[in-house]
Amino acid sequence: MWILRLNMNDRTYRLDEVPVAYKNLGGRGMTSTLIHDEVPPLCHPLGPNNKLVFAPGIVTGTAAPTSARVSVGAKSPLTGGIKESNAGSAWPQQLAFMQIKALVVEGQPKEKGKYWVAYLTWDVKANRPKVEFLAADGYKGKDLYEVYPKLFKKFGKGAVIAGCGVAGEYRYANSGIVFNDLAKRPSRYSGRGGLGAVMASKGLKFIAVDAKGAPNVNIVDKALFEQGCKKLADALRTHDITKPKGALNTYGTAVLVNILNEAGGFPTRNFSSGRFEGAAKTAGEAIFEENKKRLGKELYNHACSPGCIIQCSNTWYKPDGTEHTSCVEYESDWALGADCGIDNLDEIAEMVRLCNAYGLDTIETGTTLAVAMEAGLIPFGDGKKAIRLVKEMGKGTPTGRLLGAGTESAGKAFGLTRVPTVKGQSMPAYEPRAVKGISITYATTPMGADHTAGYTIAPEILSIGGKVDPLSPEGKAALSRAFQTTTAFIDSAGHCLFIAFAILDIASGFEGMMEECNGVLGTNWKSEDAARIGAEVLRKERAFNEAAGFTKEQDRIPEFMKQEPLPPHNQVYDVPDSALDSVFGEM
Amino acid sequence: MSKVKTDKQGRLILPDAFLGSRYRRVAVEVMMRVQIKLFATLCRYFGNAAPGIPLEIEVPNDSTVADLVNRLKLPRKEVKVFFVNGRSRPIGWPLEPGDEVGIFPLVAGG
Repeated sequence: MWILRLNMNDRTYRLDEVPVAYKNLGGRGMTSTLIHDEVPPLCHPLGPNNKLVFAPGIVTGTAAPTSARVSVGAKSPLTGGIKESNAGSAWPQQLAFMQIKALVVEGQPKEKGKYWVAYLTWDVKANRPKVEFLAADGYKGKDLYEVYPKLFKKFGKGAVIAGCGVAGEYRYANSGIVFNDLAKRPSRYSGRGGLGAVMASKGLKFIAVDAKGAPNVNIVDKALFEQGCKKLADALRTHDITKPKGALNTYGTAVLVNILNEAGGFPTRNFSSGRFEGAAKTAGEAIFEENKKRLGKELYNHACSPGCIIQCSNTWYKPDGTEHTSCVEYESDWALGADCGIDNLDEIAEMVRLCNAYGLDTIETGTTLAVAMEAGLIPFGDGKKAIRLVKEMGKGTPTGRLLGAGTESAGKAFGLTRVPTVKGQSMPAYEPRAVKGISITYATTPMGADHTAGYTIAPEILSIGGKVDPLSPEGKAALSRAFQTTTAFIDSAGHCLFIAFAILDIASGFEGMMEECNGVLGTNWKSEDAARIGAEVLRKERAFNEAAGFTKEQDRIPEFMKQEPLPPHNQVYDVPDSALDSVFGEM
Repeated sequence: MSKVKTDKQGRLILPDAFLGSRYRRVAVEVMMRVQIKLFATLCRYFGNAAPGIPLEIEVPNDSTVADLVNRLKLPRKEVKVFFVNGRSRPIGWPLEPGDEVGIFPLVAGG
């Protein structure tokens, strides 16, 4: 196995043998370890000393179900701390086929404004990967929906392509890294944290990979691996959330709109309320029913990547039955919807499409529009004016560039106090004052305000893996820590986090995930080791952040939430600092 | 006026002295009105109710969420999360007149 390094100073590359210390790493464990070991914590995220690391998970590229995930890591221009941003796509499988454990982009070209495409293929004669660098002049400054078909024409149908959009070219702290989906749309994102800007700062526009002829992932114990796959697949096929025609396959993640709204934890109009009167109009049920009307038939969801059993991605159609965009996830639906007071799915979908076209994170875009509305640039609820502001971001007008810097920067520029961020990253679709466990994750994860990092929503709202009261802070520090550590393991294994819904309820599914990893690596991990290994990843991330200047004062929720009671439950944020500090206190 | 007495099923008990010889006792059930919202796959069990649109229904006094589920003929194994006035409650939670109840199947997302 190799670590492939792309040197953007001179567009050369190097293949290094994987050091023994990295042998059992993958995904987030790999990216965070590499960033921790090699990136100076005080470096400028857009300067020559930051590194951008792509890593497939431990079981990515094998027959393990729902395992086509890539972790992308760097020092984040949005948070100033370590970032791991995760996407589902065939792309990491291609790297795994070529036995590449990590792809590291280093250095920075002297030529300003010049971009390259890296084309990574398998050299059958030399029996190793090889890279060519091509000028990306024709792709600069363009809509990704226009560029991707051109890239597939050039690199062939077998290629899978990662890249950054104009948002990266403008160095927006709100810029993601895009990967194509199974229909070759530029629609899968490592969205959060501004990694698109890091990629662009290194003069790299796209990485096209084609593993044709490559040997495939090496599996140490095939029988154990297959046993693990079967146990996990059985759990996924049985559980009501993950099974074919189950909750996620039918309604997608946007099914959460109604339940969070009912719980009074659905952040509305820039986190000024926990209920949105237009919620039902934007919910997963509404998407399903409206698509049915527009298409004349029921449409179930599709897989984002090869090998996924869950298949939760939706597509939104226009009134005339043609495709508008894929996909309208809960987070996008909320950020561009309720958080902006917008209840029109066509307008929300258009903004999702524009974010995909420009390379923007939909969450950060929506929350930034909401602070712009709070500041009076445009009214809350005005979808048409919101669309125009997103287009300004794509064109790089002065207003667009201000908004592209993210919610915290825009909030500061507008002189607002109601700015819902932690460590510079904006909060996702769960209100801290109504869901206390997720608030602890937002505050303490090294990633900044992040919901997937420790998804306590499962027991707090959904009654999955247990049942706890969302309004109570009791036991939530321990709950957040448990979720954060296990999640860091799942992110390293290369599985989609949604397998957690099944394996938290079905123990044999969890065992199956460990057996898959043991089969690939030759390790002897038990289910209990997942939290321990995840904790090790978190320890490195926290160490990086501390060296980058973070203290416990960054593990806090914004002041306005401690003072403004949130309707309908009218609670203020009252989790004490000591509880927040106890999450990682012993680490 | 003395307190109205009800039996275990919530029916008014009229004292015998009130009735006289020309009347016979008829059981009267005390009902209360609650608002119910169904979501996702549960909508089809109630005449394809639109998700999230509240319907007012009458249930016997002293009903619980479980009684409501039975009255609506929702399959027990399909109902998972219950909110009463925005607070997450267990299935045995007692209802009061005017309560808003939201019932969800197993759902998830990110």
